[in-house]
Amino acid sequence: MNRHLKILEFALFTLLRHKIKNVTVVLVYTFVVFTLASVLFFSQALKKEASLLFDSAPELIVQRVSAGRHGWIPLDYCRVIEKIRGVKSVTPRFWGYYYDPPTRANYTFMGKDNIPSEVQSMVKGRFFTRKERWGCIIGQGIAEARMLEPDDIIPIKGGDGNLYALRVKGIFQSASQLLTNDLVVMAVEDWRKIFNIPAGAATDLVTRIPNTMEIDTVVSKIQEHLPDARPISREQILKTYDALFDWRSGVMIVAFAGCLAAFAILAFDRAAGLSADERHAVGVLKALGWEVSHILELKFWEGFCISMICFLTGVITAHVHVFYFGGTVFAPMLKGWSVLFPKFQLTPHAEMFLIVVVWFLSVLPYMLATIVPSWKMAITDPDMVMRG
Amino acid sequence: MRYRIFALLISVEMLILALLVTPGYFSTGRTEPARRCNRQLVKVFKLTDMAIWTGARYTRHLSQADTFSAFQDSMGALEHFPEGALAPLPMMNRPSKPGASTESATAAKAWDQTKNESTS
Repeated sequence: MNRHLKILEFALFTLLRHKIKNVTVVLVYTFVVFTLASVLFFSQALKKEASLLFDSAPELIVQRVSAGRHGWIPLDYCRVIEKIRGVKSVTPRFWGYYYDPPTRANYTFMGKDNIPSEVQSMVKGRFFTRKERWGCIIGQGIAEARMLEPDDIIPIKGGDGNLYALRVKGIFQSASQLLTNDLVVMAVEDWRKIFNIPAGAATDLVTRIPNTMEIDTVVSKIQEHLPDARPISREQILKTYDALFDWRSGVMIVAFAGCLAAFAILAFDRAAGLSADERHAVGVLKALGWEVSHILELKFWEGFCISMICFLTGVITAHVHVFYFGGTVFAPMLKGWSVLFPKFQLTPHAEMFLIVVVWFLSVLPYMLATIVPSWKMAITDPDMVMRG
Repeated sequence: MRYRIFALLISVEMLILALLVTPGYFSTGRTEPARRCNRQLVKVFKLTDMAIWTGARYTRHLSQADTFSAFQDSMGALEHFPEGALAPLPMMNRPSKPGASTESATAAKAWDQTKNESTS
Protein backbone atom coordinates (compact mmCIF):
# COMPACT_ATOMS: atom_id res chain seq x y z
CA MET A 1 0.00 0.00 0.00
CA ASN A 2 2.79 2.35 0.97
CA ARG A 3 4.54 1.62 -2.31
CA HIS A 4 1.42 2.47 -4.30
CA LEU A 5 1.03 5.75 -2.47
CA LYS A 6 4.68 6.60 -3.10
CA ILE A 7 4.27 5.90 -6.80
CA LEU A 8 1.11 8.07 -6.83
CA GLU A 9 3.05 10.84 -5.09
CA PHE A 10 5.79 10.56 -7.70
CA ALA A 11 3.23 10.62 -10.51
CA LEU A 12 1.74 13.85 -9.14
CA PHE A 13 5.22 15.32 -8.80
CA THR A 14 5.95 14.43 -12.44
CA LEU A 15 2.71 16.04 -13.61
CA LEU A 16 3.35 19.22 -11.65
CA ARG A 17 6.84 19.47 -13.14
CA HIS A 18 5.25 20.25 -16.54
CA LYS A 19 2.53 22.56 -15.25
CA ILE A 20 1.75 24.55 -18.38
CA LYS A 21 1.52 21.54 -20.67
CA ASN A 22 -0.64 19.53 -18.26
CA VAL A 23 -2.91 22.45 -17.43
CA THR A 24 -3.56 22.92 -21.17
CA VAL A 25 -4.34 19.23 -21.53
CA VAL A 26 -6.69 19.41 -18.53
CA LEU A 27 -8.52 22.44 -19.93
CA VAL A 28 -9.02 20.92 -23.40
CA TYR A 29 -9.96 17.51 -22.01
CA THR A 30 -12.44 19.06 -19.57
CA PHE A 31 -14.04 21.08 -22.36
CA VAL A 32 -14.44 17.98 -24.53
CA VAL A 33 -16.07 16.05 -21.66
CA PHE A 34 -18.27 19.07 -20.86
CA THR A 35 -19.53 19.33 -24.45
CA LEU A 36 -20.16 15.61 -24.81
CA ALA A 37 -21.92 15.32 -21.44
CA SER A 38 -24.00 18.48 -22.02
CA VAL A 39 -25.27 17.22 -25.37
CA LEU A 40 -26.16 13.81 -23.90
CA PHE A 41 -27.88 15.23 -20.79
CA PHE A 42 -29.86 17.80 -22.76
CA SER A 43 -31.10 15.48 -25.46
CA GLN A 44 -32.00 12.70 -23.03
CA ALA A 45 -33.91 15.06 -20.72
CA LEU A 46 -35.90 16.63 -23.55
CA LYS A 47 -36.73 13.26 -25.11
CA LYS A 48 -37.86 11.89 -21.76
CA GLU A 49 -40.01 14.97 -21.11
CA ALA A 50 -41.70 14.52 -24.48
CA SER A 51 -42.40 10.83 -23.85
CA LEU A 52 -43.92 11.63 -20.43
CA LEU A 53 -46.11 14.44 -21.78
CA PHE A 54 -47.36 12.81 -24.98
CA ASP A 55 -48.17 9.54 -23.31
CA SER A 56 -51.65 11.08 -22.94
CA ALA A 57 -51.79 12.42 -26.51
CA PRO A 58 -54.67 11.27 -28.74
CA GLU A 59 -54.39 7.67 -29.98
CA LEU A 60 -54.96 8.72 -33.58
CA ILE A 61 -55.07 11.97 -35.53
CA VAL A 62 -56.59 11.85 -39.01
CA GLN A 63 -55.53 14.51 -41.48
CA ARG A 64 -56.65 14.99 -45.04
CA VAL A 65 -54.05 15.29 -47.78
CA SER A 66 -55.08 17.36 -50.77
CA ALA A 67 -52.71 17.73 -53.75
CA GLY A 68 -49.79 16.66 -51.58
CA ARG A 69 -50.55 19.14 -48.81
CA HIS A 70 -52.36 19.04 -45.50
CA GLY A 71 -55.87 20.30 -46.33
CA TRP A 72 -59.09 20.97 -44.43
CA ILE A 73 -60.93 17.81 -43.51
CA PRO A 74 -64.74 17.66 -43.98
CA LEU A 75 -66.65 17.02 -40.76
CA ASP A 76 -68.60 14.32 -42.70
CA TYR A 77 -65.52 12.15 -42.34
CA CYS A 78 -66.35 11.88 -38.62
CA ARG A 79 -69.38 9.71 -39.40
CA VAL A 80 -67.34 7.41 -41.63
CA ILE A 81 -64.66 6.91 -39.00
CA GLU A 82 -67.12 6.53 -36.10
CA LYS A 83 -68.67 3.49 -37.83
CA ILE A 84 -65.35 1.61 -37.75
CA ARG A 85 -65.32 -1.01 -35.01
CA GLY A 86 -62.92 -0.09 -32.24
CA VAL A 87 -63.41 3.66 -32.52
CA LYS A 88 -64.95 5.20 -29.43
CA SER A 89 -65.31 8.80 -30.61
CA VAL A 90 -64.16 11.26 -33.24
CA THR A 91 -63.64 14.91 -32.35
CA PRO A 92 -62.59 17.64 -34.77
CA ARG A 93 -59.63 19.88 -34.01
CA PHE A 94 -59.50 23.45 -35.22
CA TRP A 95 -56.05 24.96 -35.37
CA GLY A 96 -53.80 26.87 -37.72
CA TYR A 97 -50.89 29.28 -37.91
CA TYR A 98 -50.85 33.04 -37.84
CA TYR A 99 -47.90 35.21 -38.76
CA ASP A 100 -47.70 38.33 -36.57
CA PRO A 101 -45.79 41.10 -38.42
CA PRO A 102 -45.00 43.32 -35.38
CA THR A 103 -43.18 40.51 -33.57
CA ARG A 104 -42.28 38.57 -36.75
CA ALA A 105 -43.37 35.44 -34.95
CA ASN A 106 -45.66 32.59 -35.88
CA TYR A 107 -48.50 31.81 -33.48
CA THR A 108 -50.64 28.70 -33.31
CA PHE A 109 -54.32 29.61 -33.17
CA MET A 110 -56.64 27.00 -31.76
CA GLY A 111 -60.44 26.98 -31.64
CA LYS A 112 -61.87 25.22 -28.59
CA ASP A 113 -65.30 25.24 -26.97
CA ASN A 114 -66.35 23.63 -23.68
CA ILE A 115 -63.06 23.90 -21.82
CA PRO A 116 -63.31 21.92 -18.55
CA SER A 117 -62.99 23.86 -15.33
CA GLU A 118 -60.01 21.86 -13.98
CA VAL A 119 -57.80 23.62 -16.54
CA GLN A 120 -58.66 26.96 -14.92
CA SER A 121 -55.74 26.71 -12.50
CA MET A 122 -53.29 26.54 -15.38
CA VAL A 123 -54.16 30.03 -16.52
CA LYS A 124 -53.32 33.40 -15.00
CA GLY A 125 -56.63 35.20 -15.32
CA ARG A 126 -59.58 33.13 -16.48
CA PHE A 127 -60.99 31.33 -19.50
CA PHE A 128 -63.49 32.91 -21.86
CA THR A 129 -67.14 31.84 -21.62
CA ARG A 130 -69.41 30.81 -24.47
CA LYS A 131 -71.24 34.12 -24.37
CA GLU A 132 -68.05 36.18 -24.59
CA ARG A 133 -67.04 36.82 -28.18
CA TRP A 134 -63.46 37.50 -29.15
CA GLY A 135 -61.94 36.40 -25.87
CA CYS A 136 -58.74 34.38 -25.93
CA ILE A 137 -56.09 32.69 -23.80
CA ILE A 138 -52.51 33.24 -24.91
CA GLY A 139 -49.19 31.61 -24.18
CA GLN A 140 -46.47 33.16 -22.06
CA GLY A 141 -44.23 33.72 -25.09
CA ILE A 142 -46.86 35.82 -26.86
CA ALA A 143 -47.60 37.78 -23.68
CA GLU A 144 -43.90 38.64 -23.33
CA ALA A 145 -43.37 39.42 -27.02
CA ARG A 146 -46.41 41.65 -27.17
CA MET A 147 -46.19 42.89 -23.55
CA LEU A 148 -49.73 41.77 -22.83
CA GLU A 149 -51.59 41.26 -19.57
CA PRO A 150 -55.14 39.94 -18.98
CA ASP A 151 -57.77 42.33 -20.36
CA ASP A 152 -55.39 43.72 -22.99
CA ILE A 153 -56.30 43.63 -26.65
CA ILE A 154 -54.39 41.85 -29.38
CA PRO A 155 -55.31 42.98 -32.93
CA ILE A 156 -55.39 40.18 -35.49
CA LYS A 157 -55.78 40.57 -39.24
CA GLY A 158 -58.27 38.02 -40.47
CA GLY A 159 -58.34 36.06 -43.68
CA ASP A 160 -61.04 38.42 -45.01
CA GLY A 161 -58.74 41.43 -44.56
CA ASN A 162 -60.62 42.77 -41.51
CA LEU A 163 -58.95 43.59 -38.22
CA TYR A 164 -60.24 41.65 -35.20
CA ALA A 165 -59.59 42.79 -31.65
CA LEU A 166 -59.12 39.78 -29.39
CA ARG A 167 -59.34 40.41 -25.68
CA VAL A 168 -56.84 38.49 -23.57
CA LYS A 169 -58.81 36.79 -20.79
CA GLY A 170 -55.96 34.75 -19.46
CA ILE A 171 -52.31 33.77 -19.96
CA PHE A 172 -51.08 30.18 -19.65
CA GLN A 173 -48.80 29.62 -16.67
CA SER A 174 -45.09 29.66 -17.39
CA ALA A 175 -44.74 26.02 -16.26
CA SER A 176 -46.58 25.02 -19.44
CA GLN A 177 -44.39 27.07 -21.80
CA LEU A 178 -43.06 23.96 -23.46
CA LEU A 179 -46.57 23.27 -24.76
CA THR A 180 -48.33 26.62 -24.89
CA ASN A 181 -45.67 29.25 -25.53
CA ASP A 182 -47.08 30.32 -28.91
CA LEU A 183 -50.67 29.18 -28.41
CA VAL A 184 -53.78 31.38 -28.75
CA VAL A 185 -56.98 29.58 -27.74
CA MET A 186 -60.37 31.06 -28.65
CA ALA A 187 -63.92 29.97 -29.39
CA VAL A 188 -64.38 27.86 -32.52
CA GLU A 189 -66.74 30.39 -34.06
CA ASP A 190 -64.19 33.18 -33.65
CA TRP A 191 -61.46 30.94 -35.07
CA ARG A 192 -63.55 30.22 -38.17
CA LYS A 193 -64.25 33.92 -38.64
CA ILE A 194 -60.60 34.93 -38.39
CA PHE A 195 -59.28 32.29 -40.78
CA ASN A 196 -62.37 32.42 -43.03
CA ILE A 197 -62.87 28.68 -42.75
CA PRO A 198 -66.25 27.40 -43.91
CA ALA A 199 -68.53 25.54 -41.53
CA GLY A 200 -68.22 21.81 -42.07
CA ALA A 201 -64.42 21.78 -42.20
CA ALA A 202 -61.82 21.19 -39.52
CA THR A 203 -58.04 20.95 -39.41
CA ASP A 204 -57.96 17.30 -38.45
CA LEU A 205 -59.89 14.71 -36.46
CA VAL A 206 -58.96 13.19 -33.11
CA THR A 207 -59.97 9.56 -32.96
CA ARG A 208 -60.25 7.84 -29.58
CA ILE A 209 -59.45 4.12 -29.67
CA PRO A 210 -59.66 2.56 -26.18
CA ASN A 211 -57.84 -0.63 -27.17
CA THR A 212 -54.40 0.45 -28.39
CA MET A 213 -53.82 -2.98 -29.96
CA GLU A 214 -56.49 -2.09 -32.51
CA ILE A 215 -54.90 1.18 -33.66
CA ASP A 216 -53.13 -0.33 -36.68
CA THR A 217 -56.29 -2.15 -37.79
CA VAL A 218 -58.34 1.03 -37.48
CA VAL A 219 -55.65 2.89 -39.48
CA SER A 220 -55.92 0.40 -42.38
CA LYS A 221 -59.70 0.64 -42.36
CA ILE A 222 -59.59 4.45 -42.39
CA GLN A 223 -57.24 4.37 -45.36
CA GLU A 224 -59.54 1.94 -47.17
CA HIS A 225 -62.63 4.08 -46.61
CA LEU A 226 -60.92 7.45 -46.96
CA PRO A 227 -58.01 7.21 -49.42
CA ASP A 228 -57.11 10.88 -48.97
CA ALA A 229 -56.79 10.54 -45.19
CA ARG A 230 -53.45 10.45 -43.43
CA PRO A 231 -53.66 8.87 -39.98
CA ILE A 232 -50.96 9.69 -37.44
CA SER A 233 -50.85 7.42 -34.40
CA ARG A 234 -49.58 8.25 -30.91
CA GLU A 235 -46.72 5.84 -31.47
CA GLN A 236 -45.58 7.93 -34.44
CA ILE A 237 -45.79 11.08 -32.35
CA LEU A 238 -43.61 9.48 -29.67
CA LYS A 239 -41.16 8.17 -32.31
CA THR A 240 -40.85 11.69 -33.70
CA TYR A 241 -39.65 12.97 -30.35
CA ASP A 242 -37.47 9.92 -29.85
CA ALA A 243 -35.65 10.93 -33.02
CA LEU A 244 -35.23 14.49 -31.73
CA PHE A 245 -31.57 15.33 -31.26
CA ASP A 246 -30.80 11.91 -32.58
CA TRP A 247 -27.19 11.29 -33.56
CA ARG A 248 -28.37 10.97 -37.15
CA SER A 249 -29.45 14.61 -37.19
CA GLY A 250 -27.02 16.98 -38.86
CA VAL A 251 -26.09 19.26 -36.00
CA MET A 252 -25.75 16.49 -33.42
CA ILE A 253 -23.46 14.46 -35.58
CA VAL A 254 -21.28 17.55 -36.12
CA ALA A 255 -21.16 18.21 -32.37
CA PHE A 256 -20.33 14.58 -31.54
CA ALA A 257 -17.81 14.29 -34.35
CA GLY A 258 -16.14 17.50 -33.22
CA CYS A 259 -15.85 16.23 -29.65
CA LEU A 260 -14.58 12.82 -30.65
CA ALA A 261 -12.12 14.28 -33.17
CA ALA A 262 -10.69 16.64 -30.54
CA PHE A 263 -10.42 13.76 -28.15
CA ALA A 264 -8.85 11.47 -30.74
CA ILE A 265 -6.17 14.08 -31.42
CA LEU A 266 -5.46 14.32 -27.69
CA ALA A 267 -5.25 10.57 -27.27
CA PHE A 268 -3.21 10.14 -30.45
CA ASP A 269 -0.69 12.64 -29.15
CA ARG A 270 -0.28 10.48 -26.06
CA ALA A 271 -0.26 7.21 -27.95
CA ALA A 272 2.21 8.36 -30.60
CA GLY A 273 4.98 7.82 -28.17
CA LEU A 274 6.68 9.36 -25.21
CA SER A 275 8.74 12.52 -25.65
CA ALA A 276 12.52 12.42 -25.32
CA ASP A 277 12.22 13.82 -21.80
CA GLU A 278 9.74 11.13 -20.79
CA ARG A 279 11.85 8.36 -22.36
CA HIS A 280 14.89 9.62 -20.49
CA ALA A 281 12.92 9.62 -17.24
CA VAL A 282 11.76 6.03 -17.82
CA GLY A 283 15.32 4.98 -18.62
CA VAL A 284 16.62 6.54 -15.39
CA LEU A 285 13.91 4.80 -13.36
CA LYS A 286 14.74 1.46 -14.94
CA ALA A 287 18.43 1.99 -14.28
CA LEU A 288 17.60 2.74 -10.62
CA GLY A 289 15.88 -0.63 -10.33
CA TRP A 290 12.23 0.12 -11.13
CA GLU A 291 10.47 -2.87 -12.58
CA VAL A 292 8.15 -2.85 -15.57
CA SER A 293 5.09 -3.11 -13.32
CA HIS A 294 6.20 -0.09 -11.29
CA ILE A 295 6.69 2.03 -14.39
CA LEU A 296 3.32 0.98 -15.75
CA GLU A 297 1.73 1.81 -12.41
CA LEU A 298 3.38 5.23 -12.52
CA LYS A 299 1.98 5.92 -16.01
CA PHE A 300 -1.38 4.55 -14.93
CA TRP A 301 -1.53 7.03 -12.04
CA GLU A 302 -0.48 9.91 -14.32
CA GLY A 303 -3.29 9.11 -16.76
CA PHE A 304 -5.75 8.40 -13.97
CA CYS A 305 -5.10 11.71 -12.19
CA ILE A 306 -5.60 13.81 -15.31
CA SER A 307 -8.55 11.87 -16.70
CA MET A 308 -10.46 11.62 -13.41
CA ILE A 309 -10.10 15.34 -12.65
CA CYS A 310 -11.17 16.26 -16.18
CA PHE A 311 -14.01 13.74 -16.26
CA LEU A 312 -15.48 14.81 -12.91
CA THR A 313 -15.07 18.52 -13.59
CA GLY A 314 -16.54 18.17 -17.09
CA VAL A 315 -19.56 16.15 -15.95
CA ILE A 316 -20.29 18.45 -12.98
CA THR A 317 -20.13 21.59 -15.12
CA ALA A 318 -22.27 19.90 -17.81
CA HIS A 319 -24.91 18.97 -15.24
CA VAL A 320 -25.05 22.51 -13.84
CA HIS A 321 -25.05 23.97 -17.35
CA VAL A 322 -27.98 21.87 -18.57
CA PHE A 323 -30.20 21.54 -15.47
CA TYR A 324 -29.57 24.85 -13.74
CA PHE A 325 -28.79 27.20 -16.62
CA GLY A 326 -31.00 25.52 -19.24
CA GLY A 327 -28.16 24.75 -21.64
CA THR A 328 -27.28 28.42 -22.23
CA VAL A 329 -24.20 27.60 -24.33
CA PHE A 330 -26.38 25.71 -26.81
CA ALA A 331 -29.13 28.36 -26.84
CA PRO A 332 -28.15 30.03 -30.14
CA MET A 333 -27.93 26.63 -31.85
CA LEU A 334 -31.17 25.37 -30.31
CA LYS A 335 -33.22 28.48 -30.93
CA GLY A 336 -32.57 28.56 -34.66
CA TRP A 337 -34.72 31.18 -36.33
CA SER A 338 -37.59 30.95 -33.85
CA VAL A 339 -38.64 34.29 -32.43
CA LEU A 340 -40.61 32.72 -29.57
CA PHE A 341 -38.53 30.18 -27.68
CA PRO A 342 -39.87 28.68 -24.46
CA LYS A 343 -37.99 28.80 -21.19
CA PHE A 344 -38.08 25.35 -19.71
CA GLN A 345 -36.50 23.58 -16.80
CA LEU A 346 -35.40 20.10 -17.70
CA THR A 347 -35.47 17.14 -15.33
CA PRO A 348 -32.51 14.76 -15.23
CA HIS A 349 -33.24 11.20 -16.38
CA ALA A 350 -31.03 8.10 -16.55
CA GLU A 351 -28.04 10.21 -15.58
CA MET A 352 -25.92 7.37 -14.21
CA PHE A 353 -26.16 5.54 -17.52
CA LEU A 354 -25.08 8.67 -19.40
CA ILE A 355 -22.24 9.32 -16.98
CA VAL A 356 -20.97 5.77 -17.52
CA VAL A 357 -21.21 6.31 -21.30
CA VAL A 358 -19.16 9.51 -20.99
CA TRP A 359 -16.67 7.65 -18.81
CA PHE A 360 -16.21 4.93 -21.42
CA LEU A 361 -15.84 7.49 -24.20
CA SER A 362 -13.42 9.77 -22.36
CA VAL A 363 -11.48 8.14 -19.51
CA LEU A 364 -10.88 4.66 -20.89
CA PRO A 365 -9.35 5.69 -24.24
CA TYR A 366 -7.11 8.25 -22.54
CA MET A 367 -5.86 5.69 -20.00
CA LEU A 368 -5.12 3.19 -22.77
CA ALA A 369 -3.40 5.88 -24.82
CA THR A 370 -1.16 6.63 -21.81
CA ILE A 371 -0.31 3.09 -20.73
CA VAL A 372 0.31 1.36 -24.07
CA PRO A 373 3.30 3.49 -25.27
CA SER A 374 4.73 3.44 -21.75
CA TRP A 375 4.68 -0.36 -21.77
CA LYS A 376 6.81 -0.33 -24.92
CA MET A 377 9.40 1.84 -23.20
CA ALA A 378 9.20 -0.06 -19.94
CA ILE A 379 10.15 -3.42 -21.47
CA THR A 380 13.17 -1.94 -23.33
CA ASP A 381 16.68 -2.01 -21.94
CA PRO A 382 17.39 1.19 -19.92
CA ASP A 383 20.60 1.85 -21.80
CA MET A 384 18.75 1.67 -25.12
CA VAL A 385 15.97 3.91 -23.77
CA MET A 386 18.35 6.61 -22.52
CA ARG A 387 20.36 6.60 -25.72
CA GLY A 388 17.04 7.13 -27.57
CA MET B 1 1.51 15.48 0.78
CA ARG B 2 0.38 15.75 -2.81
CA TYR B 3 -1.55 12.48 -2.97
CA ARG B 4 -3.69 13.58 -0.01
CA ILE B 5 -4.60 16.80 -1.81
CA PHE B 6 -5.41 14.81 -4.94
CA ALA B 7 -7.52 12.33 -2.98
CA LEU B 8 -9.34 15.20 -1.28
CA LEU B 9 -10.00 16.90 -4.62
CA ILE B 10 -11.37 13.70 -6.16
CA SER B 11 -13.50 12.99 -3.08
CA VAL B 12 -14.96 16.50 -3.08
CA GLU B 13 -15.77 16.30 -6.80
CA MET B 14 -17.37 12.88 -6.42
CA LEU B 15 -19.41 14.18 -3.50
CA ILE B 16 -20.57 17.18 -5.54
CA LEU B 17 -21.49 14.88 -8.42
CA ALA B 18 -23.40 12.57 -6.09
CA LEU B 19 -25.23 15.57 -4.60
CA LEU B 20 -26.16 16.75 -8.08
CA VAL B 21 -27.20 13.36 -9.43
CA THR B 22 -29.11 12.05 -6.39
CA PRO B 23 -31.85 14.72 -6.40
CA GLY B 24 -32.36 13.85 -10.06
CA TYR B 25 -33.84 10.53 -9.00
CA PHE B 26 -36.37 12.36 -6.86
CA SER B 27 -36.89 15.27 -9.23
CA THR B 28 -39.52 13.34 -11.12
CA GLY B 29 -41.65 13.48 -7.99
CA ARG B 30 -40.86 17.14 -7.46
CA THR B 31 -41.80 18.12 -10.99
CA GLU B 32 -44.79 15.77 -11.13
CA PRO B 33 -47.40 18.45 -10.22
CA ALA B 34 -46.31 20.65 -13.14
CA ARG B 35 -46.09 17.65 -15.42
CA ARG B 36 -49.56 16.51 -14.35
CA CYS B 37 -50.93 19.95 -15.31
CA ASN B 38 -49.17 19.75 -18.65
CA ARG B 39 -50.55 16.27 -19.30
CA GLN B 40 -54.01 17.68 -18.51
CA LEU B 41 -53.41 20.43 -21.10
CA VAL B 42 -52.38 17.76 -23.63
CA LYS B 43 -55.61 15.86 -22.92
CA VAL B 44 -57.95 18.87 -22.96
CA PHE B 45 -56.53 20.64 -25.99
CA LYS B 46 -55.43 17.37 -27.70
CA LEU B 47 -51.92 18.69 -28.21
CA THR B 48 -49.44 16.59 -30.14
CA ASP B 49 -46.27 18.67 -30.23
CA MET B 50 -44.06 20.85 -28.08
CA ALA B 51 -43.93 24.56 -28.89
CA ILE B 52 -40.15 24.70 -29.18
CA TRP B 53 -39.51 26.01 -32.70
CA THR B 54 -42.06 28.27 -34.32
CA GLY B 55 -40.15 29.13 -37.49
CA ALA B 56 -42.02 26.84 -39.87
CA ARG B 57 -44.92 24.42 -39.64
CA TYR B 58 -42.71 21.38 -39.95
CA THR B 59 -40.56 22.59 -37.07
CA ARG B 60 -43.53 23.66 -34.93
CA HIS B 61 -45.55 20.49 -35.39
CA LEU B 62 -42.87 17.89 -35.92
CA SER B 63 -45.23 14.94 -35.76
CA GLN B 64 -48.03 16.48 -37.87
CA ALA B 65 -46.09 18.10 -40.68
CA ASP B 66 -46.41 16.71 -44.15
CA THR B 67 -42.83 16.08 -45.05
CA PHE B 68 -43.67 15.23 -48.59
CA SER B 69 -45.30 18.54 -49.65
CA ALA B 70 -44.36 19.63 -53.10
CA PHE B 71 -41.62 22.26 -53.24
CA GLN B 72 -41.22 22.25 -49.49
CA ASP B 73 -39.75 19.34 -47.63
CA SER B 74 -38.86 16.24 -49.52
CA MET B 75 -36.23 13.67 -48.72
CA GLY B 76 -33.78 15.47 -50.94
CA ALA B 77 -34.71 19.05 -50.04
CA LEU B 78 -32.00 21.11 -48.42
CA GLU B 79 -32.75 22.09 -44.87
CA HIS B 80 -32.83 25.85 -44.52
CA PHE B 81 -34.01 26.23 -40.93
CA PRO B 82 -31.22 25.71 -38.35
CA GLU B 83 -33.63 23.98 -35.97
CA GLY B 84 -34.68 21.57 -38.72
CA ALA B 85 -31.25 19.97 -38.45
CA LEU B 86 -32.01 18.95 -34.87
CA ALA B 87 -35.09 16.89 -35.76
CA PRO B 88 -34.45 14.25 -38.41
CA LEU B 89 -37.21 12.30 -40.07
CA PRO B 90 -38.28 9.60 -37.65
CA MET B 91 -38.20 5.99 -38.80
CA MET B 92 -41.98 5.99 -39.33
CA ASN B 93 -41.85 3.89 -42.45
CA ARG B 94 -40.60 0.83 -40.63
CA PRO B 95 -43.29 -1.42 -39.18
CA SER B 96 -43.03 -1.35 -35.38
CA LYS B 97 -44.01 -4.98 -34.92
CA PRO B 98 -44.73 -7.97 -37.18
CA GLY B 99 -48.02 -7.60 -38.99
CA ALA B 100 -48.25 -3.91 -38.20
CA SER B 101 -49.61 -1.77 -40.96
CA THR B 102 -48.07 1.59 -41.85
CA GLU B 103 -48.74 4.05 -44.60
CA SER B 104 -46.13 2.65 -46.94
CA ALA B 105 -46.95 -0.99 -46.16
CA THR B 106 -50.65 -0.34 -46.83
CA ALA B 107 -49.84 1.54 -50.01
CA ALA B 108 -47.55 -1.29 -51.15
CA LYS B 109 -50.28 -3.83 -50.42
CA ALA B 110 -52.81 -1.74 -52.40
CA TRP B 111 -50.36 -1.50 -55.31
CA ASP B 112 -49.81 -5.28 -55.29
CA GLN B 113 -53.56 -5.85 -55.30
CA THR B 114 -53.98 -3.49 -58.26
CA LYS B 115 -51.13 -5.22 -60.10
CA ASN B 116 -52.61 -8.68 -59.44
CA GLU B 117 -56.02 -7.51 -60.63
CA SER B 118 -54.59 -6.09 -63.86
CA THR B 119 -52.55 -9.27 -64.64
CA SER B 120 -55.52 -11.54 -63.96
